[in-house]
Amino acid sequence: MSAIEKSPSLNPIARVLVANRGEIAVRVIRACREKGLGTVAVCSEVDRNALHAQLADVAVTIGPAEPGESYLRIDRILEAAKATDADAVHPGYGFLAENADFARQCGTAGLTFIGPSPSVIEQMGEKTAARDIMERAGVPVVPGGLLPEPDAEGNLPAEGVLAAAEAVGYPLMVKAAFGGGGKGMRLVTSAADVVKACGAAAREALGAFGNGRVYLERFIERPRHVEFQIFGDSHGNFVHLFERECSIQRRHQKIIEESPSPALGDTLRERMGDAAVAAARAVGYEGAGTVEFLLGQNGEFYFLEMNTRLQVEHPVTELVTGTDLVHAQIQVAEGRALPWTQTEVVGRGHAIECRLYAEDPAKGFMPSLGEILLLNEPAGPGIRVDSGVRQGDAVSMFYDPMIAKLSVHAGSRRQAIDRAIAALKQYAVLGVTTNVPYLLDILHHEAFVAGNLHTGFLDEELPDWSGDEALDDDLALALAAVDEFERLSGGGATTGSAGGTQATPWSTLGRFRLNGLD
Amino acid sequence: MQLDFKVGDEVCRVDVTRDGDDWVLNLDGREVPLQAVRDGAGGWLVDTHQGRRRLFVARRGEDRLVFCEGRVHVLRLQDSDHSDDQVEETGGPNLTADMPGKVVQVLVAEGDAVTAGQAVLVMESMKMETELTAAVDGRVGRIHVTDGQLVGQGEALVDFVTED
Repeated sequence: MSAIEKSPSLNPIARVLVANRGEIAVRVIRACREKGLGTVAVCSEVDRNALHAQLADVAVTIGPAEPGESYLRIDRILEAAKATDADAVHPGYGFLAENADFARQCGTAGLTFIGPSPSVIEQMGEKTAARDIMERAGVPVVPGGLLPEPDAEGNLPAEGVLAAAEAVGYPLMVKAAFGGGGKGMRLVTSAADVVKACGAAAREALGAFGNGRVYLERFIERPRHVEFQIFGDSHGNFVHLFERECSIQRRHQKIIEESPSPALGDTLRERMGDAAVAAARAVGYEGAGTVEFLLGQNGEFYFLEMNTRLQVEHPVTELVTGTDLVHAQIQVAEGRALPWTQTEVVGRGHAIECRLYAEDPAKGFMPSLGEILLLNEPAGPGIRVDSGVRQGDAVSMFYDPMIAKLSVHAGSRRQAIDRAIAALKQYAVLGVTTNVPYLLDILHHEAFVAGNLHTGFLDEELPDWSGDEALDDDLALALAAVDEFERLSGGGATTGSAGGTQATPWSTLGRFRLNGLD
Repeated sequence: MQLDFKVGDEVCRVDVTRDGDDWVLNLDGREVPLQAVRDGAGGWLVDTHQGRRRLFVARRGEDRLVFCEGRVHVLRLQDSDHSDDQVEETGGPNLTADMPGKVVQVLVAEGDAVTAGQAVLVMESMKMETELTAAVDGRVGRIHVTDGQLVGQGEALVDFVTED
């Protein structure tokens, strides 16, 4: 039984322009092809030969490498849509995905924006407005309070700040009303520092976002980040597709996500799921969205924010629920009803996603640029790779260093961890440095395996990660020599079965061992 | 065949001989047999005391990058014939990229005479432009990069030949 079909005002989509790049553009283009839809890629000059540009039916170059001159240029993207007869736009995530003006201009140009309405994007993009809406809808929010507007120098009246802070309680966070990404944020533990901290946060917010408005929020100690995938359609149906735990973050950047969360029992899951659906209903949400919660150690949960787009980590939800969220997004954008009712959404097994970044975790996570000289992606049952790059591609400094996502699905959390480890050990990327060794260390970590997660996990458990302790290079050295010999002597090493019965040296030579396997 | 690799700060000499799929390696005096075959898909199948493992090797200039069980090892191939050459030992006056970035402009051509301190290349890293200069008087040897090219850390940029 599918959800009720009410309105017959269908709006079929024939050709989708994907206003993005990298793995998400690739993922959307593939979904469109499965549905028999035409595809248009937009690309910057340096992305002309990128995977997403080559996969689409048509690729339109919209400007130089800098995102501000290409992927963020609404005018050029709309021109490209017109020139290629696209009738819909999928924004992916990042870039213009949560830009209400872009969604609005797509509508004005007669294009179907595959996402929620511009007004919902706007409401949820303004964090304090979102908080108010959720509070009225009965969704728990972190106790907090808005502060008086700062003056031009970013100073706030001391009495007003102190009174508001007293009402919220310490410890508390000062946050920018129009911000994100950690800018304009301060942790305050006592009344002695609160006025100064609010002024500093306001000035930082003013510089970063052009608006110095700040607000206070109770600080939740060692919280988990647990978010719910929600979906709504134009027929008034709303469902959630369970949660994702994304507590493994570095500087607010998620690195490993999983579903289900090891912290949720059935009762809590149901309560949080109900709250997430109430949040979606409160704004008449259409399409795919995410309601983020902070979950305290005591099981209390609070609305954090709502993301009005497909999330990077959507594959873990797809794996446990057996759904295709991009297909569903397109279906809803066409004016059709959701493909599932709440009771039809069933979770099975456990899924984990690891984000592969082209960066060097041993050197302060500095981006690693250059050519991917060799790429071997893992494969096998329960292994999914969403990649935006191929062997021979260059990783450039202009874009997000996330080059791919490895997602695994297995019967249990323990099996999923083992599967992720085995897959990462076969995820060979040579030429640019990646965070694979860092991911492996997280997955092996006792506290991670035990499911004891919180958003400060990486800072507490893996501070100053260097990763090169006890590296034994002998096997690498031996193979490099063999490889060189073969190259210089013109190849000819046989392909196929090695082996034989002869004892291998690895058991006899102590120093001469594979790293990390003992 | 004798090969020298620089691993970290150490130079290791490896002697390689081969008999079909069997290899015998002499690593700084320790003789070690190894069974390794190409797998036909860009990897090497190597038998270890833990069972068979699949490893990958890529070349970047003189660097050999080896992927083994999730870790990447970087070994620099040294020129055996010139292993006494001080220039090779110390990395010499040749320019390599300190950090990843983009080559904005190469200011010299191969064979050009240069003096110490002369700007030879403009790099952009972390949104900042830097001029890289010649460390010695001499001539420009090989230029490994072109304008606009993205380079990774440690990649060779410009080689120099000193007069003596």
